[in-house]
Amino acid sequence: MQLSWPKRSPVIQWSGALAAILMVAFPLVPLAYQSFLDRPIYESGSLLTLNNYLNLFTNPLFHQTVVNSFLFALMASSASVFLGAVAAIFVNRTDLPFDRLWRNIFLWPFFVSTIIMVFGYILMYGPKGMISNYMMQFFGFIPWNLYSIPGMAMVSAIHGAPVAFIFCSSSVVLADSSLEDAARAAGAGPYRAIGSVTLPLLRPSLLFAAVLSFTGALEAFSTPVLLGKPVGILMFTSFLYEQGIQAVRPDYGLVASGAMVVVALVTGMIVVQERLLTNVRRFVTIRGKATAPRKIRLGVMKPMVVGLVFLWLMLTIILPLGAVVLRSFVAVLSPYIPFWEMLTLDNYENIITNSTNYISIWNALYIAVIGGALSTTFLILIALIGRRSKFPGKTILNFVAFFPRAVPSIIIGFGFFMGFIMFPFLGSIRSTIWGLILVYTVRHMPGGFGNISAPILRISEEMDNAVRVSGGDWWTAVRLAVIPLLKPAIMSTFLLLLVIFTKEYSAALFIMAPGSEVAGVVMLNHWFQGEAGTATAMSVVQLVLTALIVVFASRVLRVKIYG
Amino acid sequence: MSQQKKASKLIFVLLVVAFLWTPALAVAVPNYYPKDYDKIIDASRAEKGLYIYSNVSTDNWKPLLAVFNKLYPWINVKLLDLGGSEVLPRYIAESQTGTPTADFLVTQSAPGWARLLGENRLLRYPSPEIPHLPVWASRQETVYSFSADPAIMAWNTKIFPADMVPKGMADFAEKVQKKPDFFRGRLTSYNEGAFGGYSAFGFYKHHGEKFWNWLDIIGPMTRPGSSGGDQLEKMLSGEYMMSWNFSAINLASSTAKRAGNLIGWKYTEDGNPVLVRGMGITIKAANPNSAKLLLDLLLSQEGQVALSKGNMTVYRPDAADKIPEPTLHLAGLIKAIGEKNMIVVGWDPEYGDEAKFKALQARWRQAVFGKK
Repeated sequence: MQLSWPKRSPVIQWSGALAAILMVAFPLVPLAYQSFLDRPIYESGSLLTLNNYLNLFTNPLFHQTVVNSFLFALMASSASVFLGAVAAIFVNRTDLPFDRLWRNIFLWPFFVSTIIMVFGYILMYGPKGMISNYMMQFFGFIPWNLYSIPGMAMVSAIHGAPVAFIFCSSSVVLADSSLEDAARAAGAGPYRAIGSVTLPLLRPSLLFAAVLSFTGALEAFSTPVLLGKPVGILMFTSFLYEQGIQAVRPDYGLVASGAMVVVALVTGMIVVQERLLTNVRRFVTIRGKATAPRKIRLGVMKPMVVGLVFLWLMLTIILPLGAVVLRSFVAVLSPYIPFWEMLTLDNYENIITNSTNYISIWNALYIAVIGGALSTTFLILIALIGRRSKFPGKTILNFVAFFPRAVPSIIIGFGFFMGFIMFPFLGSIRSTIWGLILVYTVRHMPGGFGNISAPILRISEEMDNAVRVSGGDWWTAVRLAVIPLLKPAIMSTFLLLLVIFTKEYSAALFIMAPGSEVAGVVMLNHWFQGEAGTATAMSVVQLVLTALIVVFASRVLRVKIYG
Repeated sequence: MSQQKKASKLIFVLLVVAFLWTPALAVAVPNYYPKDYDKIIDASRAEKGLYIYSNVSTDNWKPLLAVFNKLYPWINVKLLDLGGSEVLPRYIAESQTGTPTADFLVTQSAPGWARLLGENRLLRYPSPEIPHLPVWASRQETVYSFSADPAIMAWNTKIFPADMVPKGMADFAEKVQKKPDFFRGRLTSYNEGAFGGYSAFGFYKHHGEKFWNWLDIIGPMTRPGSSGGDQLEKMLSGEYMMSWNFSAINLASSTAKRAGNLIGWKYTEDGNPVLVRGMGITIKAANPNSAKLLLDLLLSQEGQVALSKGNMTVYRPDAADKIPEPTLHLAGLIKAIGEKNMIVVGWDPEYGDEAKFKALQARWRQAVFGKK
C-alpha cells in the first residue's frame, strides 16, 4: 500500500472550520478564565476565585446597571419594532405616495453610525438643543428629556427601526393579500384590515425583530455613554467601559465577570426566541395560488398621512443629521450668538492638521473595504462548509458561527484584549488594523454567515451533484456550481459587512493602539473633550464617504443590501 | 581616472562632514546643556516620531509644539487627547500586551504617577534643566511637573446674573440653598475621575468636613462633564449656566476665544485648587530620545513661555518676567489668589494615596448622584 496525500476537500473543510472555531474561542476562553482569576491575567501568581462574581453581584452599581439596561432595551426594542412594523405596512401595503423616498430616508440611520445620530439628537433635542429652544420659546416648557432612559430608548429605537422594517417588509410583501381582501369584503375599513389581519400575520417577524433589537439595545454604546453618563445612568456597556478603561486601576476580574453575565443573559434570550419561533407554520401565507398583492387605499386620510410621515422623518432623521452638518461649520453653536457670525472651516482644518484624525478615518475606510472583502471571503467558505458539505463537525461549526451574536461588541473587544495578553506573541497583530479586522470579523460572523446561508440553502443540490457525478470533488463542485449562483448574495454580504464595519467602533475600544485608531473612537474622544466641532466634521466626512459607497454599490453595481 | 575618484572622495567626505555638522548648527539648545546633548538629538533623527497621551487639548499644545517643531522639524508629534484618568491605565494595559504605546504621558493623576513610579514603568531621565527648577519639579528624576493649573469658576454671562456669581464655595452653597430651582441641573463641574477628583481632594483638605456639607447642597444640582471642553460647549449653548470647577486652560481653546465675553470667570476666593500637571517618559517608549527632547523643552525657559501662551500656568522662576499675563505664572497666581487661599494639589504624598482617593470619589458620587 502506498501512503497518499490527504485529499484536498477535507483539508479545506477542516482548516476552515478550525479557523472559525479558534477565532471565536480566542476572545471567549481568556475572558471566561479572567473572570475566575483574582488579579489581571498578565500578573503572575494568580489564584482561581469566585470573588469577581461575588463582588459583581454585591456591587450596587451593577444592580442599577442591570435594571437600567433591561428597562432601556425593553423600551427601545418595543418602540423600534413598532416603528419598523408601521413603516413596513404603510410603505408596502398602502397606496402612500412617494413610498420609495420615505423608505430610503427611513433606512438612513442603518447606514449611519449611532454616535453621529446621538450627536445630532443632542444638538437638536438636548436641554438646549435647537428644537428644545423653540419649544421653550413657544410653549414655555420642553415635553421631553433626552438625558433619561426613555430619551435614550427613543434615539436607539429610531436607529434600530430600519432593521425591524427590513424584517417586517419581507413578510408584508409575501403576505397573501386575499386575506386582507376577505376582511374588506366582510365590511372592514382599511385601518381595521391592517389591525386585524396584516399586523397579526407579522407576529413571527415582529418577535424576531424584537429580540434582535433587544440584544442590539443591550450592546448599544454611544447612547449610554453620551446621554446616560452625564446624569449618572449607567448601563452594561458604560459600566464595563468605566471599570475597564477609565478607572485608575481597572478591575479586569470585575469587567470579565460582568461581561460573562451579559453573555449569559443574551444567550438565554436567544434560546427563548428560538423556542418561541419553532411553531411558525400557522403563519404560512404563501400558497400555490398566485395573487397580485393589492394595496390598501388610504382614502381621505391620504394627505394627512403624508404630512405626518414627512414631519416624522424631518424631526427624527433629517434635522438631527442637518444639525451635525451645521455644527461642523461653526466655531460655537449658541443661541446667544447668531451662527452665521461663527462660520468657520477650522473644524475641517483640524482633521487635516492632526494626523490622528485623518488616519482614523482612513483606517475605518480601509477596514471596511479590505476587511469587509476578506471577511466576506472567509464567511462564504465557512458557510459552504456548514451548509453545503458532508463535513462531520457541521453542527458545531454552525453553532460556533452564530454564537458571537450573544456577545456585544465591546465584550468581544475586551475578550480579544485578554486573548492578546494571554498570547503575547500575537501582540504585534493587535497593534495593527489586521487585529481590528479579525475582531470585527468575529463579532459580525453571525450576520454575514446568516446572510449567505439562506441563499446557499435555496440552491438545489442537483447543481453540485452534477459536478460530483462527473468526478469533481466537493471543492470543485462548490466552486463551479454553487459560488457562481451566489454572486448577488456575496455582493450583498460584502456591502452589509462594509457598512457595519464602517459604523463599528465599540469593538475597537479595548484593542485600538497608536496607529490603529478608528474614526468612531477618535470622534468620541473629541466629543468628550468638548471638541464638538472636530467630532462633527469627522462625522460629516464619514457620512459622505458612506453615502458614496452605498450609492456606488446600489446604482452602479446594482447590489441589493436588504430584502 | 584617479583624479576623478579623488574628487568624488573629497566630495563624499565634505558631505559627511556637512551632515555631521548640520544638527549642531541647526538646534540651539541652552548653553548649560551637557556637551553630549547632540547625541540625543542625533538619535532622535532615527526615531519614528513621538506619541503623546495627554489630557491637554490640541489648542493648548499648539504654541509649545510650534517651538518644538521649529527646533526638531523631523519629529512628527502625534497627540491623543484623553480623559485625565484614562492616560496612565491605557499605557499600562498596552505595555502589558507588547503593543506599541505612548512615548510620553501627561496627566494630573497623582495616585497613577505614584503607582507608575512604584512599579518602575517610567524612564528615569535626569534633565539638564533640574538646577533651574524648584526642588518639587521632579520626583526621582522621573515624573516631572510642567504646569500648575488653577481650577476656576466660569459662567455664561448672558444667562448667569452677575449678582449670582459666588465669592467662594461657602457663599455658593448658601446661594444654591436659597434658590435651588434656579440652579437645578444647570451647574456643571469636572466629574470625579481626575481633575474634578483632585480638586475635590484639595477642597476637602482645605475646608475639612465643611466641604462635604457644601457639596451635598451643590452636588445634586450639578451635571458633571467629562472634560473642560464639554463643559464649555454646554455653557455656551446655555444647557449649563455655570461651572464651579473648570480648568483655566480651557480659556485658551479656539471655541472660548471665538465666544469672547460670553464666558466670564473668576477664582474661588475661599480656597482655589491649583493642580500640578505631571509628565513622564514611558519605559516602553519606542522613541525615548524624541521624548527627552520634549521633556527638556517643556521645562526650559523658552518652553515655559510657550506653554503660557497655551494658557497653562507655568512655574519656572526665571520665566516669570517673560510672561505677559502675570497669572499664567505661579508667582503671579499666588499674588492673585492669596497665599493662604491657594490649595496646591500634587506634591503632598497624601494625594498619591489610592485608597483615600477612592473613598473620596465615592463620597463625591454620593453627594452628586445620591449614590456611591
